[in-house]
Amino acid sequence: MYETRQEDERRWRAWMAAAQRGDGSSYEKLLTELIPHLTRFIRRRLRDPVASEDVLQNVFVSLHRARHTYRPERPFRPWLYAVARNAVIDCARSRSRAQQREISLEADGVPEPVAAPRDDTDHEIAPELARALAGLPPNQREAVELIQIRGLSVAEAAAQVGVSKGALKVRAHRGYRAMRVLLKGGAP
Amino acid sequence: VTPASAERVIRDLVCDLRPIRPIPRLRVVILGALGLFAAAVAVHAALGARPHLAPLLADPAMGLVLVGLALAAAGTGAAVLASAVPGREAVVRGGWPLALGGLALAIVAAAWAVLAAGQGAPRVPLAASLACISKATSLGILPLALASGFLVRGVTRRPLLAAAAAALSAVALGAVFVHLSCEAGSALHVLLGHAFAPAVAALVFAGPVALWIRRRANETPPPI
Repeated sequence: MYETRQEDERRWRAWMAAAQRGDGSSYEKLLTELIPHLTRFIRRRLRDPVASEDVLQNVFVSLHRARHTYRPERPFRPWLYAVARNAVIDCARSRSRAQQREISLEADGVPEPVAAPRDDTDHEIAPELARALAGLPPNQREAVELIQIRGLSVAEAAAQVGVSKGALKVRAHRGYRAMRVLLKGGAP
Repeated sequence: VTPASAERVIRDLVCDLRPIRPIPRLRVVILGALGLFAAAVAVHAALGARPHLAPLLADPAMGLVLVGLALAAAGTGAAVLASAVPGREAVVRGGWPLALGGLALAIVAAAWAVLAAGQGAPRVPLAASLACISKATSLGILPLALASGFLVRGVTRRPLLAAAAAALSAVALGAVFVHLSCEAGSALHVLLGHAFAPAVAALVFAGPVALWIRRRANETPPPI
């Protein structure tokens, strides 16, 4: 058991260091191997299988965003679980806030808001934003349009595109970053 | 978990992967901050600031203020820098009690000296206390800038708290030198101008530095 953990640790550290140098295949192996470990970690904390799926995707996105904070000479596990713990806490907090809002609306007897008609044509945006949007790859443009322009929730947009919420968040995140560069006059 | 959904996310993340430079080691950042502080001290020394150890040796309370300020600087500095690096929670847990204990020690020791001096204590104008706070801030400004840059690169979950702690740490470091070199000597001046200096700096700098950290963290992708 101890030796397996040590082997895992050595392998993960090597893969993570390679991923920091841009090695996609090591990164893919690392993330794929982490799925069962992170799933167990999340389920122990949330006890909600449905929420766990979303949280796992958020944990992966958090790991990706924080990957430069890992130092290759440091142990990998404490870093991994610290990032995962923070992502789980953030998800639990946002879920709790959403639930409180729902409870408060029910308690107040507030009727469900009537959704504004969502037609695909009537969305005016500034010309420079439109140009930046047009410069994005199609999947990123679609994600940004659905969330920011048509006002869909991440879940609704993901359902419409036919991908997971996590995948849609990643596409939107990449799209925002590319748009920032485009708006500053650079290449994405 | 449905493996398919996780695999899709992984595929997207792999597509987004670029080479990045890992964050610097904590000890390098700490040594860098101390180096900048030493440079600032050298400038002040060149301008005429000299250590005055007689008051510290004569009054144990003054010595305790010095120890308290040093502990506050070390504890807060270590805790705030480590808080930006996932997996260094042990340093954060150890740093905060040291920092709060140090700050409390400095303030209580200075307050004790004020009470012990009673009515007969020499009065020093408020301007002198403000001058000492300014001097401590000028000594700590470069380490604060370095720490803020590190917080931008790290994972800073509470920018306001991190900014306040970074300012407190940097100015506490400056206050150590100010306490060693100040000629005023009055207990009330030590309380207002030395022991309270880090807390004042934390209040003044927390907002602007937090705003800067938040903006830069949103704008800056991981370094290549």
